[in-house]
Amino acid sequence: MPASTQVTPQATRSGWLTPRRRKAILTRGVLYLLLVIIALFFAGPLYILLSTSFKTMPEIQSGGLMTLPHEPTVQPWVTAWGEACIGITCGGLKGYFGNSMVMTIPAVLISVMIGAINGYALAKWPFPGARFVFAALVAGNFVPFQVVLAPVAVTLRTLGLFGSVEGLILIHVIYGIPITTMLFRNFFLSVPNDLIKAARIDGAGFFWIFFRIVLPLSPSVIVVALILQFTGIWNDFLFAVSFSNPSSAPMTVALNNLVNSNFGVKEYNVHMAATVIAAAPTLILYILLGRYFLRGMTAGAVKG
Amino acid sequence: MIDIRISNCNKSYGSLRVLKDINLEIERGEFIVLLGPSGCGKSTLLHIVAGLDRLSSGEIEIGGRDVTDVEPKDRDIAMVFQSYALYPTMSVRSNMEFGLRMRGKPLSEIRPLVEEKARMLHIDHLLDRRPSQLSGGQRQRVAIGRALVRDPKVFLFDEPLSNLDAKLRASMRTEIKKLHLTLGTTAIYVTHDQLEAMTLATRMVVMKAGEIQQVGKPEEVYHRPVNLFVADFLGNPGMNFMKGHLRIDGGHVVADVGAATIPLDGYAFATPPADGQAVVVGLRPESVQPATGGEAFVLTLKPTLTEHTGSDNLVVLAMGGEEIVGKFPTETLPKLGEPVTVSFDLGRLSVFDAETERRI
Amino acid sequence: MRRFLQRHVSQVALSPSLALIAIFLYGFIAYTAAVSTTNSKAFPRFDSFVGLEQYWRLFHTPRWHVAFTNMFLFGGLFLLVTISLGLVIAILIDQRIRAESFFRSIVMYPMAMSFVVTGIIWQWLLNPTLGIEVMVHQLGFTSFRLDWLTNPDTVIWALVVAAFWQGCGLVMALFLAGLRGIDEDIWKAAAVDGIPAWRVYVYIVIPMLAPVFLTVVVLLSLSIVRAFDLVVALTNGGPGVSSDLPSVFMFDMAFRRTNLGLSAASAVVMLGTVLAILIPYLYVETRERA
Repeated sequence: MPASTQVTPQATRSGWLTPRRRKAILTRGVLYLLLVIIALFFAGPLYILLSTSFKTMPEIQSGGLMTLPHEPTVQPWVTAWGEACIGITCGGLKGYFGNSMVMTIPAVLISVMIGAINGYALAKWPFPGARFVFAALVAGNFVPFQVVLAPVAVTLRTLGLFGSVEGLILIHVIYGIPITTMLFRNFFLSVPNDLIKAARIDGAGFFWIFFRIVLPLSPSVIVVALILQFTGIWNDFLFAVSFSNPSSAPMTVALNNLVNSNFGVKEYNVHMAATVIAAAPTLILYILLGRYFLRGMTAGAVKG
Repeated sequence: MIDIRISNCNKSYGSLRVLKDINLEIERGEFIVLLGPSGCGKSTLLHIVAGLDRLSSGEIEIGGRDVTDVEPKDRDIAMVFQSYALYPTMSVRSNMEFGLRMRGKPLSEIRPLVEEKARMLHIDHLLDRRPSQLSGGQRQRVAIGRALVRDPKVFLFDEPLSNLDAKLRASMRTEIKKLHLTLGTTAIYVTHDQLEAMTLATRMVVMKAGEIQQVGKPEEVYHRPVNLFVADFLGNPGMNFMKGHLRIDGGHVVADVGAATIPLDGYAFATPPADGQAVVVGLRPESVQPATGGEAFVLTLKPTLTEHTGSDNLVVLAMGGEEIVGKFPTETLPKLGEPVTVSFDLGRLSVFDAETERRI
Repeated sequence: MRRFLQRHVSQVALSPSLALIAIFLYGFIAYTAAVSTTNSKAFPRFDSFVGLEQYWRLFHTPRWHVAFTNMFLFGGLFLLVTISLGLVIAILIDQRIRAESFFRSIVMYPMAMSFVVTGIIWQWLLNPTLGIEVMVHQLGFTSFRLDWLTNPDTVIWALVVAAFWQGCGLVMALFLAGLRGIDEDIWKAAAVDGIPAWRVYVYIVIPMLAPVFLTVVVLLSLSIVRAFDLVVALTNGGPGVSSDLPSVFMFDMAFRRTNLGLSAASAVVMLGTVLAILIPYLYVETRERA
């Protein structure tokens, strides 16, 4: 950290400022001005989203997006949740929100469990070729999923799972294996080998050591993996739009259909309320668990 | 009675051979120390005895039973690790109980055992703490306690003291020694610290590059090293080496090392010496002493450096083109550059063939 | 059997995952590669082998040209903007500021948003009758124009600004972690030598962040090749096909135009692009570690 820009209390005896101190204050002033501009750029959109979602349509048409609502109304939220028309059905987002939850929660839990066991096996019970197996699994993180889209569609049709939430769960679990395995394997490397050896001599087996010794040491990585998978699966659009049908579509697809449909008058207030609803679960995770969230995103940035 | 028999044991990782044809028999009640530089295979050998590593070829017997393919938990062993390997999420008590509970022993029988061993190791007041709340020395006691509770046939120690500071290490060393004297259980102890090896071992095994160099009682290995490696590895400061040739003159054997001619009449040759044979003559620093008169062999040499260690004075002496070190009593501190007369303790000489590096 | 399971429990535990990945990843990549050598339309048909014709056709499709060029154009601008501003913001936040965690949180929260949400938000902000343009007009600058979404020549900037808004937080966080990892004594030594702060950054600190730059470039490049949701939600490839990207092209050919063969060829080219980024990176990484 640059020591030269540090503000140190050093007013002169006369009460006036030294040139050096004046320069430091000026530098600080410019610094905070820049930071405020940056903050406005990043926070502005969320503010607009929230304020507009409480406005009436006439107010939006007359005044643009930047003002606070004159007569706040929750009607857009009610409409977005329960009444808005998406495609040919007009039941709002609630069904799709449910779809997303029913899809995301099991997919997250299963893929994290599988990744944890894989990572544990690779990190703590190595065997000849373990490095190759790890590389083969982890390479999946870099593959753009477009390259498997068509065969997955064929497979899901064959299994009778195309267009179902179960099908999406299956796909998210399978393609979650590389990232969760990598995350857990890298974390478990830091668990001392002697601990595993001591437990083996004491008579504990593979799963016993996993559940009773290794997992209790790993709450942070479990949280990170849960966040990473939840965010990834909740926010996924590619698999959702490729393999769902109108009744099983998750939030991302429903939101896009709602906002980007070419029919009727665009109800911006409803659309923005809908957008906030779609973003809310991951946003809440971020607010509650920011530090873990960042670790999750950093780890997840490689995945496809 | 043989307690552990290691026969023709080989271990390789790919093309890397970390253990080469190891054979070792250990009697019941022995305290065997495996000593060697890092990478010599001593830890691998210990892990193989524990069953944590699989052999590439060979056999391991414990208590007369072939355990080569037996899981670690069924070998009736207990192990103490360098990193202590205490289960961090369990209390000290649970750590010590764990092994027996896994074996299905009822808690009512385990409890008194744990408390007895805890008292023995003075950790009975710590039983309800977590490992993270303990100091390094306390953790090591718990790790030993955990092994004791199991009452195994063999104790295995994997550099258990190397994470402790010097003072604690010395006191724990004494305690381990006392424990062994009390319990009499067979133990294998891996270390790279020669002081631990010398003080603890009933027999020590010096290893290098996957091979056993010498097996023997500590004093025997120290005073009669079988080759240059063992001679050099043990002792601090290391053994003095003087290169030269043997001359056989009318029944008398002498070593001509350039700056001196050392008589070897009293030396017990293991192999018959040959005239002109290139040799290295080794002598430990404590066998180079200031002459008091009447010694069989004295030399006058110039000190080039002196170091006061507290208990001794280490004196570096120029000898021909080379230097040797003497370990003098603390009251004898020669002045630099002023020649001193030193005596060699000829009974402590080691002579090695320069080519094979083996003791002759 | 029991003994086998006990001894190979690690492999046994891994084998379901390995089997799934072998089929669903490697098998399916091979499948797509195979389809790309056929004239498959709505359904994969392997009796219509055409060799590399689909690739020839792909690179003679004007729309693919736009999409493929866009990937590099969008990618280049996005990398430039995000890395330079991400670094600057990290440096600003690293000045022992007040409310540091507040500013950090503000810059980073968009990464919790999906690309669909991001695209929709910026679609509104860049809408000439609704968003930023209207706001600037209300401030009195009535000649201000922000027509990125409707102008085929500048629509790429709409993608860049939205992608930057969403991705800057992660880049900033990586740079900030890098800055925090630099030995404090470097700053003390520079202060003793009287070197001004900006020079220390330019000549000492930023070069020390080289590994972070490499990581960031690779991470962002991977996300560029895969960019899909953002385009669909923000521009849907328009106006016309001017903001098309390979992923959108591929999806369109597979699911709307029923041209699986061509779609598979485009997917394989995408995978090839990723490998072209990744292999040199892994080469550098492994060589440095060795």
